Amino acid sequence: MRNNRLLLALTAAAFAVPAAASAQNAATIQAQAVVLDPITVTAVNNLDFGDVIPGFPVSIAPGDATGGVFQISGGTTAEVDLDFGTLPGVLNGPSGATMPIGFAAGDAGYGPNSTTVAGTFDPGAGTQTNLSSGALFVFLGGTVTPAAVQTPGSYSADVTLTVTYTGN
Amino acid sequence: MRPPTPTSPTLALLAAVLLAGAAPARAQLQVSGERDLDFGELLGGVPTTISRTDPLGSGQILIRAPRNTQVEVTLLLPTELAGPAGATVPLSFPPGSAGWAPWSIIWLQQAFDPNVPNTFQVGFFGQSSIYLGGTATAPPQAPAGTYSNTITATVAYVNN
Repeated sequence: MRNNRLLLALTAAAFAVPAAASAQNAATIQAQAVVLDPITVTAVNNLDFGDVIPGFPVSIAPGDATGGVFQISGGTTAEVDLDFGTLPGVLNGPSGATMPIGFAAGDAGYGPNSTTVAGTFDPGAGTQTNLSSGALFVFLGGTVTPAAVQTPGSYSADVTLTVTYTGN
Repeated sequence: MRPPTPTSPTLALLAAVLLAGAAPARAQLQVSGERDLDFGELLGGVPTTISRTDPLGSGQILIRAPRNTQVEVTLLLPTELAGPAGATVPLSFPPGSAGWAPWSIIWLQQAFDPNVPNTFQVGFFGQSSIYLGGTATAPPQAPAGTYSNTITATVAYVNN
């Protein structure tokens, strides 16, 4: 009887061992990320020199009421690169007439809202700064220098601001 | 009539046969996902790389097997993360972005290419880990939200 029990136990063990064996196994993990809000850039105000008198330069400082304004939105406090690229050297007017325009080192600025210029920079060089609660405003001034004999009419040129995340 | 009872020599022989038969059967191979590969917050247009030695961001897969056994590791890697409204974020896993840690110690890794099967020896304590890094590059206008995909590790004994 005792031998029979032993035989039974050994037989059970023999079947138990192969059942526990496993030659291959697999597991999974997740690759995951959270993408923050993409950058959007909106033109709010044109840089408007108004009426100019031939022979008299007109300057507008960043943040002035008629200065250019861009609104940027994006991810929280991410750092962004502000790049005006190649700024126009002239405004184009009627019948091919042009009017010189220039941008000095402090003619661009940025701030957390549409009325506060927190810092200035050279629009020809660009700069990097951080968004504030996902927002940033960029201001642009400049100087136009009409010739003494300037064809009357409206003059304009495009200014493009490119904004990218720096990753910082 | 009583059935014949095995004699002691018979039992001994049977036990020897059973034990001999059990010897080639290997202990169970256990594979488990311990930690996800977490790229954290991504900014559009900015590549984000997680190192295989990053203790928080790297993915970890734990392997339990008898010490010093040879195992083959095959990773099924996604090419992108899937996000809201069908948006995707491309992924890349360059050679060397994965590591084999024989003792599951993250700073004691042997780099390997996760894109091809690799053979390793399980460490002395019978517990080894795969650590995985990679690079995610969200497109500049990728919509905000949570993105994810599945990485599968298959581990098999090598016949040797």
